[in-house]
Amino acid sequence: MIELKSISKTFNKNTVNENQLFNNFHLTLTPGEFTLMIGSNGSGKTTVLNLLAGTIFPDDGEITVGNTNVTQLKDHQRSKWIARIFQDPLAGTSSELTILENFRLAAIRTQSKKISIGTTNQFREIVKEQINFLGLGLENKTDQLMGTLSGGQRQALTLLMATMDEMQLLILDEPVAALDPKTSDVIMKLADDIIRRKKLTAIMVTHSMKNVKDYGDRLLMLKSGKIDRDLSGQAKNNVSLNELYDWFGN
Amino acid sequence: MSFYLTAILLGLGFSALAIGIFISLKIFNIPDITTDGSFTLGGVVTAVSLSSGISPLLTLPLAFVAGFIAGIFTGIIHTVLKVNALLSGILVMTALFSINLAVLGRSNLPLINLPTIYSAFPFSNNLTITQFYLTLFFIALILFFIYRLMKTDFGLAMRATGNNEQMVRACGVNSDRMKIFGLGLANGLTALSGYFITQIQGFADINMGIGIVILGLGSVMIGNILATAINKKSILFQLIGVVIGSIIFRIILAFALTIGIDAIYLKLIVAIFVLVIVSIPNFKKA
Repeated sequence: MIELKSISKTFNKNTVNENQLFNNFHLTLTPGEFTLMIGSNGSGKTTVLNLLAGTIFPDDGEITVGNTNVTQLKDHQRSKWIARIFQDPLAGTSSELTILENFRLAAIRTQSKKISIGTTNQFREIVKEQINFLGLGLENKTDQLMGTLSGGQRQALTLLMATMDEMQLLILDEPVAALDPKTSDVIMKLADDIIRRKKLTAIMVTHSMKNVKDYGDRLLMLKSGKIDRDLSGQAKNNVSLNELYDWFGN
Repeated sequence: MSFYLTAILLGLGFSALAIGIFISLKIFNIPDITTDGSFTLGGVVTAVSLSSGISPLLTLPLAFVAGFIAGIFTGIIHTVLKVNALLSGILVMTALFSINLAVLGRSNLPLINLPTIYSAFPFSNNLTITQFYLTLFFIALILFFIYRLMKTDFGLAMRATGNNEQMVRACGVNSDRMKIFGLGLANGLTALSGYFITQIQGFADINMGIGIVILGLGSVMIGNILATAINKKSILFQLIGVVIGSIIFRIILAFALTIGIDAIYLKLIVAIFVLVIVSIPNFKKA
């Protein structure tokens, strides 16, 4: 169970641009549930993700992962429980490292980085097996630099990398927004497949109403820092595209 | 011939500094110019340590640690106090001038009749040849150590920090701490160059580090061009390229002197030379 409790957050405090986005905001994410979050620009979607990831901190309130209070922990400390996929398809990998080295770094996300060589042949086999599953023909190119691959390939690998280690929550920040429609479809299917297969708890921000229809167990609509709609199960499936557009209208 | 052997020897001596610049500039993407100060610091610590009877071999880690600490200061100023990297380096470099003067006690300290690392292992009757082999040995050792470090899990995190900070933080790496360590390592290596050069030239001087950062930058650029030319971009080839770059740099300077260019114009030649090698990759693109 991941919880945001009584969160308050004001940006640009004590200036003319002061913007109180959240006031007593609550959100509970249930284990194994794939939550989608939509909303207009400025409604607070990205802030919710940043609060969860630990790149920004609430003025007031509490953030918990399971029984652990993580409110004061920074992003690199929260990586013990939380994995992230970024909107920029290049942001989740290091172009100067090989595919294998990128996977190694991701595989020890929750561990300390020791002065010992972890990119062993045994590890290479594990990575090959994982990459093979993608069907992109990259399994024999594990020594190739990540920078030589396309954005779509890198985002696909980022998804696999994230799941190399244990996690309590997977955060996806518009993971396919920067990709062409076909690649975007492939990556979304892959993400959904991984989330289902590994029974992950996930939260994804998206602007694609098609993705809202096709994926996820729960749908949140944010408006000015408040949860405007919260639909699960059948109620979510019954929402029509027209209704979704209407939600944004007023 | 021995003129060029000396040039190669100096190139080897300066290559630790060049590897240091490679680490701060290429791996961490930080323009660090603490170098001028930490190079002199290494030389000063070496001269004072040898003068007070400490063995040359034990002086080596002392010089390294001194440079490492200087780099840590730059790293803390840059990451914790969020000061621009270039300014952080200038601040520490400036402060080090006083520190160096205080440690040395005067502006110049000769090592006359003192044991050095080279007198401790006399391979050959020819001092320059002894110095060459021994420096080569140490540089090879440093190269091996840095190469192995870069392959470890810790090294991967180091290399990714300069390339994609957001990613390494998401992978659970404290990128600030990584940068502080990286700048420490870079300046520790720079101080090792001070250690070698002081013993090769036989004295430490408070001004020995002025403008030295350009040597490292030039060497890294040459190394980069070499590694690109043979299409081997792996970390090992890049490191070897940097060492070769440092030697080429020195040979070109020696050549400039032999064809009768006035020593007054040496720094001008260095600047023009670095300008040329820095712009070569851009010319190719255009």
